[in-house]
Amino acid sequence: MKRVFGSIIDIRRGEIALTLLMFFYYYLLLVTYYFLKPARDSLFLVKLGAEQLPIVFILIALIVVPITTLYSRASRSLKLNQLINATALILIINLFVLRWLLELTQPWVFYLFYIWVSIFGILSTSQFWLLANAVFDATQAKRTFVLFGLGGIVGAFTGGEVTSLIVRLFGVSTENLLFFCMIFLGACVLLVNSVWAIKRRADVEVAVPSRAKTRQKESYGDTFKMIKRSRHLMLIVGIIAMTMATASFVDFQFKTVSVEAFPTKQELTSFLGRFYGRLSLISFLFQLLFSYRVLRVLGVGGVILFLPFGLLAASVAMLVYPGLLAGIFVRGADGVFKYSIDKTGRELLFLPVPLEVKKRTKIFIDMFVDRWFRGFAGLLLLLFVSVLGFSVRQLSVVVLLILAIWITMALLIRKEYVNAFRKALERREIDPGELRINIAEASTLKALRTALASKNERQIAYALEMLSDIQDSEIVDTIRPLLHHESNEIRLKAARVLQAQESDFVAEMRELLTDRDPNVQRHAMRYVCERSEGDQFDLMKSHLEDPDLRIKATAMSCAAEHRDLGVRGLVDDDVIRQLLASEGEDAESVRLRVAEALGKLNNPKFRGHLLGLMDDPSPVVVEQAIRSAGRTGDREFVPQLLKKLSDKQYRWPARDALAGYGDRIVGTLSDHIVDTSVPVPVRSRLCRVLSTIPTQHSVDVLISTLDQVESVIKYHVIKALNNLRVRSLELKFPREPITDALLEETESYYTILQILHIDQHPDTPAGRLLVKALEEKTDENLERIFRLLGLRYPAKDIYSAYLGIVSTRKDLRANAIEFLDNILRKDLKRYLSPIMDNISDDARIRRGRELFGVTVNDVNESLEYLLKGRDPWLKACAIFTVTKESPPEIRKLVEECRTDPHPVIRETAFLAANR
Amino acid sequence: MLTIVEKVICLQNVDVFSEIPTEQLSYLAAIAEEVTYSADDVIYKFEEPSDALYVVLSGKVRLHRNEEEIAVAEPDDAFGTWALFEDTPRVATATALDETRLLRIDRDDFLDILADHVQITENVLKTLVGRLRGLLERVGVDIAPKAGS
Repeated sequence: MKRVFGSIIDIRRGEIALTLLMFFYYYLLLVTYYFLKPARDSLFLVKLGAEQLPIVFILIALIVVPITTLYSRASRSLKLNQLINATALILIINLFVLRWLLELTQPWVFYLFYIWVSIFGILSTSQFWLLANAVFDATQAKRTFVLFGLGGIVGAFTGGEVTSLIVRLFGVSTENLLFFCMIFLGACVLLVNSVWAIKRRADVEVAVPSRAKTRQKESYGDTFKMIKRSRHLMLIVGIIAMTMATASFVDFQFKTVSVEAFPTKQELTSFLGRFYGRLSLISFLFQLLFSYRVLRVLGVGGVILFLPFGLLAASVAMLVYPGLLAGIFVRGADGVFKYSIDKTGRELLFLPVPLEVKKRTKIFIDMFVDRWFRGFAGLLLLLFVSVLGFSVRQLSVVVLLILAIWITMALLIRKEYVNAFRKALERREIDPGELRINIAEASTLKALRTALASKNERQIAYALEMLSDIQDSEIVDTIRPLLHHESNEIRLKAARVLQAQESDFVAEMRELLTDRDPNVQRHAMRYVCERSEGDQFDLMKSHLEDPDLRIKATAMSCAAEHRDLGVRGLVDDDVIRQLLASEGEDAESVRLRVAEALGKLNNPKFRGHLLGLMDDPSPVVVEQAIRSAGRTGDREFVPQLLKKLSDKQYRWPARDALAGYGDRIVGTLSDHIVDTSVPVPVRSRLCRVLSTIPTQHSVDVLISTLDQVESVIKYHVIKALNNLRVRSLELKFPREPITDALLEETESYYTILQILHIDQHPDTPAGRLLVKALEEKTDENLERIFRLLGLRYPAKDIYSAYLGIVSTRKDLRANAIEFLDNILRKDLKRYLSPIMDNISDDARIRRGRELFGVTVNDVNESLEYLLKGRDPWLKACAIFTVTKESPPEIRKLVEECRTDPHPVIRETAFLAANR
Repeated sequence: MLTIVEKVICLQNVDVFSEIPTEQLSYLAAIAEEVTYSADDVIYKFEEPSDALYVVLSGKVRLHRNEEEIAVAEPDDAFGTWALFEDTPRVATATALDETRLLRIDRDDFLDILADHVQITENVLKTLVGRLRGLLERVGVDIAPKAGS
């Protein structure tokens, strides 16, 4: 049980507040619904009688589709929080009005109330899941949604029980339950807004999930045609239609016998409250404790028969002994099985259906089949009850007839399911993740076994992949021959599946010890060592002493990853030397495994071997040695890894290896980033390495380099900071240094703009090159300004604003200006607004002069500024424009550049000086 | 010998480099080698493997197939551009008409630069896509079905 709950509750740090808020939100929604549901039923049944139920069933079927369509449209034009708040407000007002209307005791009010509660049930849960999908990503959803489901069940149970309790013990009238519901909904609004506030703080855009956006384009006519073409889908739709129709009949029978047994409103409300609440709980417990086991034994074909046979038994009971007990059985069977085991079975029926078809069919079923057949059942009920005057007992005969059709279809679909599954497997249309969850089901296993016997390699590999976690004695005989398959992948996967079984396969794995694929060898040896009788230490030792170098190398690989330090210690210098000295066609593969094992062993004594392998003639061995060096985390390897970073062949593994050191290496990397003697590409790669180490230290050192590097590297530093911001929301980006960097960029922008607007630039190739370089620099300045803003404000919004500002479209630019005007702090706006605003360059230059006090009046002043500046490319271009006619102070500055460390500056200065 | 800045000025005129900022062009300039040919020297022959792009610094180069003249490259003109992107054989012979100075960019060096400088790659791709789009528009081809075929 602990394991069950452990798997249910897996909430990580940073998600707790949000998950709890969402949990209580769903809990309260279900409490509200289970307050309303017994109230709705009892008021309707007591005031109007059960014979009016068919009419309300038909009305619901007619009204729900337009209402949900309207809601879907509203959801596209409003933000999700606005939509939920508006809906909640409308619902609270509705409840208030309904409470007042109930006083009128007019029949139409009870119809209205019944329909309203049904719509509330659909809307409120759908809204919850919309919000949940918007605030949690796919990985979080997998972990948290189970918990919300649990919250819903506890909420349903609490709602039902509390309703029963307060009506029975405290004499609260059924009508007044609505006041409680108003309070609960008010609390829901608070919870939703808290959820929203947290998400906004986390700077994550919360959008209405795409489902709502894409649905509009689908044609239901096309979907129906698509369903008609597939016998499997037709049977699924048929089964679901029968399920819904039976549900209406059963509901009618149950409510009729309930109101006969509890003729007063309070008694009936109390009974229904308890009944609905406990039904949810039993359904949950059944699902938790039995569904999986039943599925394993009976398979999907058996599971989908559970509900109709349960209803069959209960309906026979109703036929023989009509009354409350039979009513409870019949409605109980429907409630317990339909939302547990039958739901699982129905989901499994969709497994062989391609994902896109599945989505469209499900929407079609939710929107039409479900409602239409409930409505159709309402019509039938009207016919049998109001026209033909059938009693509850006689209705059981009709139910039995529907069940007969249902069971026939369920039997037919068993064969169809296996066929559809086989076809889907051939076409590789099944999501392996989804399948693994449901694989224990008997017919699925049968289909996979058939796939294993196929001649198609891809299909076999695919089937083996799906069987990788499964224990099934029957698959063993099918898999064993695959150990000798010519494909490395299939042999490895087959070995893995066998290794997952409880039975012993040591003999088979021993044969694989000399397999031609090192991966297969390693898996086999690991298994042999674990499963063989005798001491593992001795076994491993004998393998390490084996004269066959392939076995020796595999043994080294296995020993290196062994938990027992004694076994790991068996790998000594002699073993490594023997392996490294190997020759022949296996030599490279042996060295590769040695390189891998040395990383796992992480023994400083073997550092020299690993360093040697980093200069191996084989690139694959070098790459593995680099990765292994990174794995050790030994700082001794850092210089070598930095060297490899400049080698195009090994830059990727070197980058990964350096990133693997994590926080410890951050300082060293930053030293290299600011070192101008390190080539620019290597420095930019180091920035990228830092961007993959999401620690505060990385942020701090990157920020500290901002005022030490030239513009080309500064771009990579800021880009790395942007990446870190996206990667981890917990990192802090200190405001002051970022503002300083922003102001520096802004000042540079204004000054370059002044230089560009000096009319005296020579119309020579050199002059034109300088102007072009200056224009490019203003563009780069602007990009860096926005990237820096992205460190202080929501990054996505700033990026959109940047695209607007650089766009040639006036409307986009205007929107961006308006947006920036609203979000930027006053101190920044002062500096940045003139750059963004639609003003002339002259006005912009004037504003720049006022802000920074930098004035560049003529060409000579601009040259002086550029020659004293830190941008090497602008410096080189400026030098190139200098001639012997240039003023002596400029020529002197050029003279000084002849000793500049930057080769392009030095070279250009020599040229200019010798003109 | 030309300096990096002088080479940048020449490379700016090459169509395929037109979107590359000048500072990034300086990295390409660093791999551009200055070569000299005398009149009538063959720079490359028809159907020889393509391995480099050339930019004329001075002199003239005749591009021809046998005796059929295709074009004459003059100072600042580039020829053999596609050699940077594919290794199909040369479609023409290039012969120096005068004493000719050329800038030569080797394909392997160019690919190394692309691997090192993402911004250069982005801008080269931008130019190529623009050129392809223009070409398709000129012949009235709808791009979407072509891309899918």
